[in-house]
Amino acid sequence: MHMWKSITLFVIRALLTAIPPLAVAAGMYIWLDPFGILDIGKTPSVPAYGITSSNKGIVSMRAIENGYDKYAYDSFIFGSSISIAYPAKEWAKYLPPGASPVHFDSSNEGAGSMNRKVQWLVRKGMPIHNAIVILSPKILEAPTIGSYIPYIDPPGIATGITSWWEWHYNYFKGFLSRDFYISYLPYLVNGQPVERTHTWIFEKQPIVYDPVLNEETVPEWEHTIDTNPEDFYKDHQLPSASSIRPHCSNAHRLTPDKIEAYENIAHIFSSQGTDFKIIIGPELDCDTISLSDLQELKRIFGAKNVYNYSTPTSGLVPVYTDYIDVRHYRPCLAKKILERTYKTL
Amino acid sequence: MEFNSLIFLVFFTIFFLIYWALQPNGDGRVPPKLQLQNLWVLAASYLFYAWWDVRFLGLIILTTFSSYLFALIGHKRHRLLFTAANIILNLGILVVFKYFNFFSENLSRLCSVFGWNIGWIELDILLPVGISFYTFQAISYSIDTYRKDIEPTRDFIGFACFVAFFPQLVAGPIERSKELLPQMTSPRRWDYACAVEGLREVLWGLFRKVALADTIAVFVNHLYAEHHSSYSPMWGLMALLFALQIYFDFSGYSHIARGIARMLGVTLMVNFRVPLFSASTKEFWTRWHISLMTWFRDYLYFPLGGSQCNFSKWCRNILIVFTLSGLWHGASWNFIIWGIFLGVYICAEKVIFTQLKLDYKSKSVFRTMVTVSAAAFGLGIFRSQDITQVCDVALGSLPWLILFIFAGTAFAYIWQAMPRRWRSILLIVLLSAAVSLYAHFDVAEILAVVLKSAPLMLATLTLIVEWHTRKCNFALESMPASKIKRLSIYWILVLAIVFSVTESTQFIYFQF
Repeated sequence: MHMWKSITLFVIRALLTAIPPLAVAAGMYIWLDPFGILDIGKTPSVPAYGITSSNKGIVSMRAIENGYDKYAYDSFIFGSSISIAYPAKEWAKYLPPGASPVHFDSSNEGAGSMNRKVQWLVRKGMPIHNAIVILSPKILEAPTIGSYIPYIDPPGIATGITSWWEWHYNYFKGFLSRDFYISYLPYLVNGQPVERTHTWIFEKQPIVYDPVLNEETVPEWEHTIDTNPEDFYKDHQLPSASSIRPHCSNAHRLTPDKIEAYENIAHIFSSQGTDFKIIIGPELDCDTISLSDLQELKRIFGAKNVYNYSTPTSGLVPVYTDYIDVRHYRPCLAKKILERTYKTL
Repeated sequence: MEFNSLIFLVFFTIFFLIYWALQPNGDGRVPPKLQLQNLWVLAASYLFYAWWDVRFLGLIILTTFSSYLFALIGHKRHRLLFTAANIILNLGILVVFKYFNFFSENLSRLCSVFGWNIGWIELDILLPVGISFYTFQAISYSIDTYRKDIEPTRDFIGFACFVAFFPQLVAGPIERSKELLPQMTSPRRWDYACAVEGLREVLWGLFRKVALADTIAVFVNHLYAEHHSSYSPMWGLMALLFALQIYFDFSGYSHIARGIARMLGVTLMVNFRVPLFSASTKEFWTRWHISLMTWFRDYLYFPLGGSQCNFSKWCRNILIVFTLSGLWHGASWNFIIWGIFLGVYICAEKVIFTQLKLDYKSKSVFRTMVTVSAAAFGLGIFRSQDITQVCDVALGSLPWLILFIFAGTAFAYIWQAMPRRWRSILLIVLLSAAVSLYAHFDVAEILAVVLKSAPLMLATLTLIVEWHTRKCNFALESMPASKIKRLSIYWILVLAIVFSVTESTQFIYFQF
């Protein structure tokens, strides 16, 4: 047989052998849509107690796309899961009458993801009249491009010819991961998480989701902390009271790529005449922003727009019951922060 | 660029098609097209290597030049001088990049014991991937030309391909110049049957790496990260599981390397021959990482006198070889202790075999269990991070490994005593009953238990298949004649690979 004929036959046979099992895997992925990301046009649900792998970035993007015509959002709460603590209706009290606030958050949102979201709003022609950017010392460490599936930006927000491919490749890989399906398949059979499996794919918080404000609340937990905090904190390991000591980190968390991303955000805010506040929230372990990073943020956004509540001088004494965990504080503390921020005006 | 990555698939597909497009006619001389094909191999190999860090290329090019030139010059005069110079240069590079900081730190500690506080230099350098592998391959060429086992080649591109041939560049097998160099300097032939066999071996290797080694690694990493009490059986489990992990990982890599080379018309040596069924540690080391152990045998053990000497000298030779092979794996005390343990164990084994008049060649389940346990014990030390963990693993795993020897042997004898046709059914029934009881007869819970333990079941099945195909170079070498059966095997393996994605993907032996 001629060599090239033989090589062609070899390649075709190899492909034909490999394709059916891959097609089975891809078919299962499309059929089950375990992450709720394939049904384009529909807002993926944020389940109360189920698979958490839904990417909050895509939930936020689709919620805003779907609700924009009706609610004409013009005020945005940017940030990571920490920003969930800021109720949109509470913030609206400090906004001009007629402002329409909405959450535009995603998990572990760093400078890069936030910058891409702001640019997406510009591309969509959605004005940004008001904004609050919720940061924390720890979140400044978030990379500008997320690689872990709940952190990656959905295509649309992430641009470039490879963004669609990267998104679906990562999710498909996530679906094929052993860690995922040993929890997911018994869940499919049982209809609820099975104790003997890893449980990292299941949301532990009994979330209540408001699709209009794209807002997540956890009233059950709020109630437990208010009425019986010992019970709540028994299950949520928090640092001991003695270990909570203010420590100023000298680490420069703002790398050049993050600085560039924040500069882009500041530029867009400035060009749109956005009324915005940059809030650096506190953390229970008293991790603080370094002075150099704070100065950098003040240089980028203007000193009058940056509010630092991470240092002890801010007057916010760490109180256990203000927190759900070390990084995430509760709406009661967020309300205090909003009050202080807007009172200083 | 890992063999089990998408980028490698793209790289290799492009490489493969262009490689065969440059196929020379093969008229006996070194035709221009072979030079072109070899240039393509070299460019691809350097790209493959530079994917980790482009700076690593400088060292491999230096090793290639020095080995090529010194062999050619030394062939005319001062053979010993030039061979020694090349060996010193290459070992020097290896020492600087791999061992300098280790020796420096330990010398500093030793001096401080005597009250001399000397500030030793510490080099801030990266350890180039696979440096130990290609350095040993280049040294073997120097020694072979010195011994006149082969003529030094004048074909520089062919020689550079021999040093940097990408399928075996970063984790072996460490090829001999006698075997690989002639394949690099003469035309390769496309052979459909060989290519199919190569692809099968790649599939088999990928299955071992992705579906077995990486999934077992999840258990191992978890066990090593946990704190266990002194008498916890987890110590024994840790050692046994790590032995399985490293075996499937490294043998998986070797199979992929051999398979890829086979698709390119090149035959690489077999690196593993069912070592877990060896009846003695001596036999184990003739079946595990064969290319390294034969390297030490030919270039160190035999020149030291091998076994043609009295017992004490033989023990000395064995200790030197295994201590150095431990050191070869890395600049750390756990590797050295592992090497010394193996040397001492093999010497002790010889004493016992001589006293009890046992034949090395005869097989027994008990001896196999002892050998596997000794290997697991050693590999437990190998995996340890520091001296404290070496002691913990050694002391913690020993009683459980002894228990494993007796329990395993008892199980094997009961198994053999059972009627052949009922064995498998009985085992499945017993296992199913145990799982069902453990999961309280809940379907979802049973599924969860089965899915969690699937890697261990797959590993056991693979070992059974290995035993039944032990005369082959790899399990898929002889396949059923039925097309349906063949396709079913391929699809099961591909599905197992596809559904075994884990975070741990790098081959363990890349670090050496």
